[in-house]
Order: sequence, then C-alpha cells, then structure tokens
Amino acid sequence: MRNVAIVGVGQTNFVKTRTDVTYPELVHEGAVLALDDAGLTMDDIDAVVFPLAPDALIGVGNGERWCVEAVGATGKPFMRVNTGGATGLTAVQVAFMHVASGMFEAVLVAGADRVSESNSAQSVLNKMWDVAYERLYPLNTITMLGLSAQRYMVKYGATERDFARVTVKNRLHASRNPKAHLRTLITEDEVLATRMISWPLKLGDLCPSSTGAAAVVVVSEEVARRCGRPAAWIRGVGQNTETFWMGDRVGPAAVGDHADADGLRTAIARSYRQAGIDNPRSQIDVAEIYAPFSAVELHAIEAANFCAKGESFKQMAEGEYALGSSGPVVNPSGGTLCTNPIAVTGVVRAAEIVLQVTGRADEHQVPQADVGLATAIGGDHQFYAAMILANHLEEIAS
Amino acid sequence: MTGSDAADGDVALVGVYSTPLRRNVTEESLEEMIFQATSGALADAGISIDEIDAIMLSTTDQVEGRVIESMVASGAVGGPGRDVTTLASAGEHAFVYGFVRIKAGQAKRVLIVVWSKESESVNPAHADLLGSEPFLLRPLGMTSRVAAGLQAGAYLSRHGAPAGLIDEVRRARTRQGSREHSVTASWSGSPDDPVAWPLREADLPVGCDAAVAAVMVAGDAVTDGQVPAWIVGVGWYTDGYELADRDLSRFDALASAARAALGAERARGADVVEVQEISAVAGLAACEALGLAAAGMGADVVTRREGPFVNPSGGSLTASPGNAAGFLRIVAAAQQIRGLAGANQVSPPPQLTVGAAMNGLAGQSAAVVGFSNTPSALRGVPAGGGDHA
Repeated sequence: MRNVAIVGVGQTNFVKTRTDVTYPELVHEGAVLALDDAGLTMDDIDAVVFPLAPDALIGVGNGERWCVEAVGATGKPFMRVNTGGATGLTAVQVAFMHVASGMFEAVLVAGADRVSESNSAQSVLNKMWDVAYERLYPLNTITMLGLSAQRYMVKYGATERDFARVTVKNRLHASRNPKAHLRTLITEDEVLATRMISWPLKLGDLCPSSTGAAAVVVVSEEVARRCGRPAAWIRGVGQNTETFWMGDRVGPAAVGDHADADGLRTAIARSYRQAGIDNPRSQIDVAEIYAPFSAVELHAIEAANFCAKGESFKQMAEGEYALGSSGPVVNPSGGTLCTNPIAVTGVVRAAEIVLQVTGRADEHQVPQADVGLATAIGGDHQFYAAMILANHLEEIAS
Repeated sequence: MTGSDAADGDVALVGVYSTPLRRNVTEESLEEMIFQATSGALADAGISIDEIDAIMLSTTDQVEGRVIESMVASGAVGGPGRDVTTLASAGEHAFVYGFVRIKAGQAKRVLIVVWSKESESVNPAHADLLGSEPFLLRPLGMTSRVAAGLQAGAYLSRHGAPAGLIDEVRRARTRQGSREHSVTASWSGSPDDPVAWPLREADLPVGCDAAVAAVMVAGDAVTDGQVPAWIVGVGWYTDGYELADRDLSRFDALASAARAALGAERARGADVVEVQEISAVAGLAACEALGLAAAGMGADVVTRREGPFVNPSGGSLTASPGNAAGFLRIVAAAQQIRGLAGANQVSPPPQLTVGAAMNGLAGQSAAVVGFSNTPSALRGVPAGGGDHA
C-alpha cells in the first residue's frame, strides 16, 4: 500500500455561535489554517473531500456546493461525505483512499458546522429515524444514548457518578486546549447537580452544540518528504455499520447489546489489523474517541480493547485515561464531550491525534506519544470509523 | 474476458440493476426498492453480499424528509457488519469512490447503491429551493429549474440558435425514450407551460422514483460467468458555485472530467454516450463539453446522429430519478458494453461507451466514466485511472 500522511491540520476556536462569518467563510478559515500548517497553498491541492452531516443543521441543502470556492476546489475533483457524526473521520478516510489510489498527491479535507444555529439540533436529529415508527417515540441522540447508558449501568454496575467522572476528566483536558468549546472546570457533584435531560444523562453529561471549522491535508509520501513538515502517517483505517433500527438493540430479540459498542469494536479492530496492532493497551499512546456523552466514552474505551467490557469506569476512578496516567490517554483535547461541531468532529479527532504524534499539542500533549487512535460514530450509533496514526513507518512496537 | 485477462489496476463493473423508473411508487417502501436494487445487482454479478468488501451509498437529505437518509438503507443494502460510506453530493460520486477504493487496494468488490424517491416529498420544488444559499439566490427563487433556464438562455444567446431548435431536440429524445426506461410526464398544466425562459415544462427532466445498484470489482476478481464492462477511466470535477462567475453556455466541469477520464479526445472515440441532460438545451452543451461537437454545434449530434449514438436510453429528459439520474446514465453506458441494455441496446455491439453525469445548479459538477469491452492489456494501454494529479 502507498504510504499516506497528514501534514497539516487546522482548527478554529470552537464556540457557540459565529455571527461574523457566513458558512463558506467559516469553512475557508479552517482550510487556510490547515494549508498554512502544511506549508502548502490551494494550488498544491489536487482534490477536495468535504465533510458535511445533516444539511438541516446549516439550513442549506447540499451546502458543500456553496463552499467550492471557499476550499479552492473550483476546477478540481470534489466530493462530499455524510455518515452523520462519523462524517469527519470518514472524509479523512476517503481522502486517504484518494492518495492511496495513486491518482492524487495532495487532498484537502475541509468543512465546518454551526450546530447551535439550527433552531433545535435535537429536533433535526429526531428526523433520522423512520417516519412511521421510531421517530414518534420521540428518539433523539440523547434519549437514544440514555437508553444505552441505562443498559450499561444495569449490566456492569456503573453509576451516574462514574459518568460524571468522565466529564470532569475531559473538562480538565479541555481547559488546556485553547480550541475547545467548554473549558470550564467542573466537579463530579456539579455534574450530578445539573438538569436531568434523559435519565441517567444530565446536562453535564452532554456535549455542547458547537460552531467552528476543521481541516486536514492528506498527502503522498513524496509530498510529505518534500514539504518537510512533521508527518502523521495513516497506518490503519477501518469502518463498520450497524442496524438502523433502535428496536433491534433492545429487548429479547436484540441483535446487539446496547450497553456495549460492538459495532465500533469491529471498526477499530479493522484499523488495528491494518496497522499491525495486537496489544492496543501497550501499543496505543493516545486516543481521541468520539463520545458526545459521558457514558459513551466508557464503552468506547472498552471497544478499543484498552480494557475488558465493564472495566473502564473502574479504571477511570483510579485515574486511568487522564493526562499524566501511564496507559493510553483518552481525549486529551477534551474530546467531543467538550466540542461537537458535528460535521467536522471526526476531522478534529484525526487532527488532534496528528498534533499528539507530532508533538505539537502544547498544554495537552501526551508525553512520548508515537501512535494514536481516532474514532467517530454516526447516525443512531450506526456508522463507525477508526484510524491509526503514527509518527513513523516502522513496525508498531508493544 | 475474465480476471486472467486483467492487468493490475483494472476495474470492471459486473452487476447492475435498476428498479423500474416510475413517477410515483406507492406499492413499495423506499427500503424495499433499495433491497430490490441491491439483490438484483448482486444476482447480476453472481456473487453474494458476503463477498462485498465495502458499500458506497448516495442519497440526499432534503427531498424525502429524512436526516442522514442513508441510515434507512442499512439493512436493505446488507450494511450491518460492513464498511459503508455515503457520498452525498450526487449518485455518481458513489461510483467514483467505489473506483477509488479499489484502485487504493482497499477493496476487491464493492457494492454501490443510489436512489431517489421524490414522490415521498410534500414539495420537492421547495426542497430544491433550499439548496440555494440563503442570502441572494434563495430570495431570488433560484432552483435547479431556474438555473437550467439561465444556462439554456446563455447557450442560445451565445450561439444564436434558432427558435425551433429546442422542439427538434425534444422530439429526438422522445423518440428514443419511448422504447424503455421512460416515464409518462404528468404536468399539472401543459407541457408548453413556460418554466424559466427559454425552457418549458417539456424541456426539463421528468422526475421519477428509482433505486439503482451496481457491483464493481478489481480486474483480477472478475470471474467466469460475469459480464464485465471494463472501466477505461474516471473523471470528476467541480466548477464554482457562483453562477455569475461561470460561462453558462458551456460546461467546463464536464469537459475537465471528460479529459481526466478519456484524455484529450474526450468522448470522440465512443460508440455510445449516455449523458445527463438538465434540459433539452443543456444536452447540446454537454455534447460539446464531451468533445462530440464544436461550440454551438451540439444539435448536430443530437438531432442528426452525427458521431456516437447519444442517449439511446432516452436519457434523463424522459426519466430522471433525482440524485440517481447521473449514476443511471453511467450504468446505462456500462450496460451497452455488456450487451444488456435491453430494448435500448445499440447494434453492432459497442466497444467504447461513455457515461456522463452532472449535479448542482446549471451543471456545477460533473463525472465521466469510460467503459470498454476489453481490459487494458488487450487494448494495449495502461489500466484506467484518470489524469487528475
């Protein structure tokens, strides 16, 4: 397989709203940041992959077409990816395929979202479900994953405080990341005291609706060597899909256990296989795991095979997965729980791993981070993407 | 021709299925249509879903009222447990990405499923309007039909085309489309009702419902019993969004895509061309962008049958399933190579066919695919890939 690297990343500061820019202007900010980081210009880019999830969140159908000029794609190959929350990381994978095919040397992934500027993101997301059956319950991403959190508590004995602990860790991490949206420190008791949204998930367990842009530059080995910037090599990719129907995840006829993230586990396992990783606990230094709600991070850590099912919250109570711990550090950026611009959240996951393995994450840097895992989840926990990035092309050692 | 004839890098289409093109499918759910297309394409390829490495989908979020609409297809396409990617700008991008994926060595066999069921929409015209940016174009009422009118007006003005030209083109298309895969238009008024000058209702594509699927495989995975359409080249390009920045009398993105897929000759050497027409006039400019005629001379291709046979299927004017319309043109070109175009089959059997698709306002973006009846080694050329970098 042709070697492919990410040599530039860009993220704007993520906030609730941006009234000073149009959507294409916001996209342009992220694109320019990534190109500058790579030391390249739009003229150096052969093709563009645009991540954009639900169109309704920005209020424009096929809004990617409006942004062609903003990403310098005029007169170039251009395509848009939409796998819901997984979109951003899927888009980076699609760009990887572009370069790996040998047809392209440098591909830009650039997009943005302004989730809070829809009247109600959760009302939009309710429209994911089937018109006649599950939409009416009413499901949204919070109620959907509230069900998962309940099941996790019943199956493994986790408590609401265990979920709150995830928020506390990630807010601490985000406080060191100037790009993050929610950067205020919070205590477990403060999380537990926040408003109940969908039991057991409270406001403090939930991600914000973020506005901002993110971009990465994906290049061939030849371009990576030529531009001379620190390279994060894409060592493995994996995707997987689950059932659309929530009814298939609960009750005696369920095809999977909603407590666990087995679909994500398969996607990550595929990326591990390609990267030659068989002992992730020792081979992965850092992970940016897509977890929009606190409880999700726990079963996602288990899906990454950093521990057995039902063990992650016990380890986190002992300080594991936090900056300064000895094992894999999870979400040193603060993660999706502190910043969720849906269309590009997966791009941010990849970008943060690039910063980590190239030693450029500043205050939230994980020491000696050589190999990292990025994941993303989309739809109703339906589309999964995973990517392994490393700062070398050698065999990944234990 | 089987995998033993293929060179490293060859890619072929070996399975195709389209549900019947109908104006308003009420007896089948969207999922049932998608399942029918998926099953049909796999059966045509003679393989099972278990042999598929990756699935590419394409749909849009606006028309049928679902957010992340591809979610609904998961079961119908055999998605659970598999790698699924949704390309959301246009159905042809699902085809393109399937090709890229195989060329990257990250899949041997991919399934591509694309659909549109606009009959489920309360108001497809309003959904279309929401595709325009909200500051200038949307308040002006800019839709794909209005943009097609601007394009047609620009073409006629630039080339001083006679007033009767549009009628001539429409008659030629109707004759071809009457054979198969066309739907009966049901305008609320008259087909001569003006829509956007100079276009009338009958000059624009007739919308319909359809699910279309294809199986694409690496050359060395082609097996005995399969009927391959070997992919000569693939190109896809976009132009800018701003209409005022473009010369609407020509399709630059389509021309670039054709060069990337087929080289400087573009589609000139083809026996059959299936090209998406966003209006009767646009078909003329599209033929020019594909290199079939000089600027302003596209009518010679369409009405006088000079050069390759264009749109033996009737094209998108007689049946246009929204997001799947361009993808349908591409697989129609493949079916001509495979000798499986039914009543639309061209004789003698074509050796090179071209499918061309467009999407966005006034053909902002385009994709072109060339198909051959022989793999690259037997044609004495490198394996197809397109010249993009």
